[in-house]
Amino acid sequence: MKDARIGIVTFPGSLDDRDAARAVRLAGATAVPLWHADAELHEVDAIVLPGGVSYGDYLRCGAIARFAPVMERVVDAANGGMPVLGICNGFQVLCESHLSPAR
Amino acid sequence: MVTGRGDSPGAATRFGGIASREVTVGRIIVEVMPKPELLDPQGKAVAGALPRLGFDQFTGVRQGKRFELSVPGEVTEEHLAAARAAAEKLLSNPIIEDVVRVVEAGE
Repeated sequence: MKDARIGIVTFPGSLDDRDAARAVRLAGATAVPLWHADAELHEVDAIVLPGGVSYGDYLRCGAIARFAPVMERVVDAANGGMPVLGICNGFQVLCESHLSPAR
Repeated sequence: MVTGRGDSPGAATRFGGIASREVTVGRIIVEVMPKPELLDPQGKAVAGALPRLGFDQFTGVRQGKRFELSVPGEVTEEHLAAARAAAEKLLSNPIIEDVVRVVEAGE
C-alpha cells in the first residue's frame, strides 16, 4: 500500500470521508481528498466513495450524487480497471451509477 | 396550468417588474412507482401499520413518488418530452421503478 494514492470523494452530505481517509493513512497509503464538483482525479490509484447521507438521501439514496462532475471520471476510471470501493451511501452511488448491480 | 397573482416582491422581481402582477406557470405531473413485480418494503411496512390504526380494509399498499415540474408559461409538447426524459434519467431508477404518468397538471 506504500506510495499508493487513494482518492476519497466528498459529496454534499458525505459524513465518513475523513474516517475513510484515516483508514487509508493507517493502511500506509496517501489519502487524496476529491471534491464532488471537481472533475479531476488527481492521479489517484484507487477511489473510495465514503458513507454518509449525500444530498440528504433525497430522491433515492445516491441518485443525485451519481451525476456529480467527479463521477463521470470515476466511472471512466472504474471501467478502465481502477479499483473503486463504495461504503454504505458510497455503494448506493455505485448502484445508481450502474457500476454495481442493484436489485 | 396555474395563473396566480404574484403578490410577493420576489415574484415581481423574478418576472421583470411587469405592470400586471398576473403570472402564468405551467405544471407537469410525473408519477413514479416501484415495478409491480418487485417487493415494496416501504409499502409493506405501511400496510402493516394501517390495521394497527383501525384501517383493516386494505389488502396492500405500494408507495411511489409524485413530482410537480414547473415551466414558464404554457406546457408544450417539448416540455412534456423533456419531462419524460428527465423522468427516465433522474426521477426514476428504471431498474426498480416505472414512470407511470407524465401529464400536464389538471388533466
